[in-house]
Amino acid sequence: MSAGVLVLGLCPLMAANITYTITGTLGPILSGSDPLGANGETGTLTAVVSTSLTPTSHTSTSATYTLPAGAITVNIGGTIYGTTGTSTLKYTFPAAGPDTMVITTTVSVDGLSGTVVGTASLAKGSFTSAVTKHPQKFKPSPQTLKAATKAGGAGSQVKYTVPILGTTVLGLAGTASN
Amino acid sequence: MPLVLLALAVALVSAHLLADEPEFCVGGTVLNALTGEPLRRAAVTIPQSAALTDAAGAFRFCQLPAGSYYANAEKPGFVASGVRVAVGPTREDVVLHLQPLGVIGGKVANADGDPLRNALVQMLSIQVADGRRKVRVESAVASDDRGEYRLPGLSPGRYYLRAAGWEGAAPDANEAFAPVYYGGAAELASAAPVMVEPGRDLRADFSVSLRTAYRIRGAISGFSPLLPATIELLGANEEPSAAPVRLDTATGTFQVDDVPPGSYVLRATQGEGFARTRGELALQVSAAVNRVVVPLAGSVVLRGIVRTAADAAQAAPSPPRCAIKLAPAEVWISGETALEADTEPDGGFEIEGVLPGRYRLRMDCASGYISAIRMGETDLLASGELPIPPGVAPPPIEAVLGSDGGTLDVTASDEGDPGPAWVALLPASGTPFHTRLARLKGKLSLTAIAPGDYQAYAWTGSPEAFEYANPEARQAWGGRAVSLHVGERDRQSVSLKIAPGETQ
Repeated sequence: MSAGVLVLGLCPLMAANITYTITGTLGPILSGSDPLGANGETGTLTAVVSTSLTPTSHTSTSATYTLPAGAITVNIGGTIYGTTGTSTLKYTFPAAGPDTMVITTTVSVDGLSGTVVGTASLAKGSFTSAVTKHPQKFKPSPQTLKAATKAGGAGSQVKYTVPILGTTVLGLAGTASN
Repeated sequence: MPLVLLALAVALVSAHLLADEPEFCVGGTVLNALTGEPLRRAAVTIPQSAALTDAAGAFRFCQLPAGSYYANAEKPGFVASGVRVAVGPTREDVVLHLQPLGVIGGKVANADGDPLRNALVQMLSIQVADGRRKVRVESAVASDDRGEYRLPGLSPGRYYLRAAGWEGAAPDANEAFAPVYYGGAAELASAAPVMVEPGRDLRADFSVSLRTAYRIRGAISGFSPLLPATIELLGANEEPSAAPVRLDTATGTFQVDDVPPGSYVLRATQGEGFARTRGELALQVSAAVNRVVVPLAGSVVLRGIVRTAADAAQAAPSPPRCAIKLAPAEVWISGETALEADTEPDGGFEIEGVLPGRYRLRMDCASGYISAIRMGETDLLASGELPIPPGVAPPPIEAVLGSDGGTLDVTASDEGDPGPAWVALLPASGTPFHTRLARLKGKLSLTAIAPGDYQAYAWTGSPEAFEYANPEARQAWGGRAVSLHVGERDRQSVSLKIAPGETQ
């Protein structure tokens, strides 16, 4: 009992950040022609999120936070893409269907600017309603991510848009942890 | 006591885990690309870290896990620059060269050589999207009372300069000038570019012909005073006019002053999001124009379906998995963004909020190639361009996806740059739906290629370096092309010589 109290008391001092890691294999192609050849590659999206953030917008079933430049790292096939500008993190916990965590960031793709949107479809009840006040960890962690079968549909997916190359949506099978 | 042991155990395990992952450093120098001098207080960033260079232009980051990092440097007065660095082992030899910005200045005068104040001078850049030219206004400034203007802080490169008209009200009543490009051309197509060089001042003077100017007065029909609205005057080739436009947001009446004689289009847009409305009116100005009415029409939903062609080799057709993009066909970049949609598993799609105008359609499909595409009676395959008339729901788009496409495995030849590079596969048919642009990193497999003849190109640098939809640009790069034929379900390999991709 005393151990539990002490550990809980230490937590706020030890970490004011939560690190979300979404990792897995990209594919299949759900939409587009994949001009960057990401299908079949391993991908990791890491977000370091301050627990002191307040939502820039929220509803009864969602909360959106703005993350500062540098909070997100995107690694596709061993290449780390630098993020430029701010990013957004959105949680949804609808009455029906799974909870989701959606991270949108702008990355530099070989000198071009592009947008990457990663959607992790989590188990229902992963977030509590208190999450709308500040970022929280989801439970359980890690969780298995099942790849979506259609663009914009249920399941986990990654969408990248580079204006000159068009838009591609890929499924993502792997894990999400924090 | 058990608690202390637990904490100790956690600490030891954590330290062990951390020690398992080797860490490295990356360091280097930031230099002035023109003089070679080190740059102090340049901001260098890598993912998750930032630092300022010291007096010797040096920077260093440590505690990095092995990986590939994009290091970027920037400093006021210089063009930001970045380089990808493979870390693991430690690297101390990264050199980032920053080019100093350039300046363009000059004078705007009338035909008698008298200086003109309040003349708006614009610097235009050419971008390439989907192989086509797009014009962007990079910066603009008005001339002073001596007719002088100055555009500082310019990235080195090729630009076009245009004296566009008056900035605000005309300094002398009833006179204005038609846009003129540096060198005297009246249109961008025949204008000569100017080259901004690093750290250099470039002088560019304009001589313009003042002519009697006129006023356009009118109203927007269907206007709502509660919604945001804009009205623009577009000149030849949809060039935005500099003539000052005043819109009364309570009544929807407007007035455009100082309009030189010529052909124009008035374009009114109102509302936000999918609820926007738009109207256009073409008019010829050779005298004052009064009581013109620009009628607004609402946006429409563009619907369509992509069907997979019957194929004896497949038991059941797979979903087309197409990304659809509808982009304005105009050459001048405005605030309009492209509209996008994905096909549903049954091939259907909908694009909401399509305003009247000219658009270019793009479809990138994972399951095949577009072998036919129509909108009502209009065949879209050749150009991909479609008009959306005001107030009329367009007929649905019907596309057929060919599933007998070929595959091309692309590698870099030993002769040229090893890459990475951009690869363009351009069909002899010219249809934009069969054009492919992709990134080559070691090896690239292009699948679902429409059968036919192609030319393949590979180049380093920016993908915008090649204006491949322009026949003149293709001719200029003709020596680099590899010709090939893709047959039905054919799989072949091609080795491309990667050439530098200087901007055309």
